[in-house]
Amino acid sequence: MDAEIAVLRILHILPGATWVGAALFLAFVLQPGLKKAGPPHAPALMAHILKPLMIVMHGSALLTIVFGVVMAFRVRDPLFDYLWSTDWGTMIWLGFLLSVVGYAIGMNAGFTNKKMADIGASLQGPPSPEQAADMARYRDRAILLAKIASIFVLVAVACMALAQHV
Amino acid sequence: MGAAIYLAVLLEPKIRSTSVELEGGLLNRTSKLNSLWITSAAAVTIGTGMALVSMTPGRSFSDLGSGGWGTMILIGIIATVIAFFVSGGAGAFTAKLRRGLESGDASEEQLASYRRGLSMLGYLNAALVIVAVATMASARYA
Repeated sequence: MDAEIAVLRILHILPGATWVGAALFLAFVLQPGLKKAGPPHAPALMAHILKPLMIVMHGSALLTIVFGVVMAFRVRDPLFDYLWSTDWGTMIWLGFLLSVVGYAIGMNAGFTNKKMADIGASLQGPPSPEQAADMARYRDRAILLAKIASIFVLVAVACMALAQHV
Repeated sequence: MGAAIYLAVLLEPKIRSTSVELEGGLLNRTSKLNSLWITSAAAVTIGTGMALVSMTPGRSFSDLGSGGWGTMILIGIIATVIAFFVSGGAGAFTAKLRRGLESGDASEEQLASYRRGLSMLGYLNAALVIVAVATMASARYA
């Protein structure tokens, strides 16, 4: 039992730390840095990193959520009785809800970045004023969405970490 | 941890696979903030981790190294502290690379050597923080 929970915790916490750390880094360090760098650096790099970035973010987020759900079922039985009637349960379902909402917002940020990268990839020369305006709009929206998503997952981590102490 | 993995596995190799001009421009814009972010996150994690060890009921620093919990926490602390210094080394290589690209004084061999050092220390740092998180996460069940 202990070995199983230990393995589940590792499989939950490692991708979780990767997800949250990468989300915060992307939202508050890399994207604002790229915004300052501007064209041609930002669209060129974004076109290179978008696909592997999405794989890392989706992969770590899904592993975190799936192993978190499995672990919750293993540590409390029957889980749903504890979820609605204890402080531990409240923190766990709140954390789960925030992480899923954060994941959905993060996906939206990824799609918005992809729209910007698609415009960048289609350019044959300098962008027209309309294309530049569209890229700036998508970039700013992606930065905002990434910040909101990272705050959601950060609060989710706080809820989960505090669950057994409330 | 996410930032360390992200930088070592994803961002730095992709930046290197683009152009030298792009590499220099991006390092100028992001490297100082990257270092500040990672160093601050590591310092907060180490500081609060130490406080947690001393405040956990029934546990203290004298338990480190003895028993399952103490051994795992000690391994985690050692891995974290080494990772902190390795990260500092990676930051130093980044600064050398940035200055070399900016000034144009560094030879190709020197730039390649900085890139190798940065890459190696980046991967080592990511591996160490993974070990640290895994040992800390499983300590209670060891």
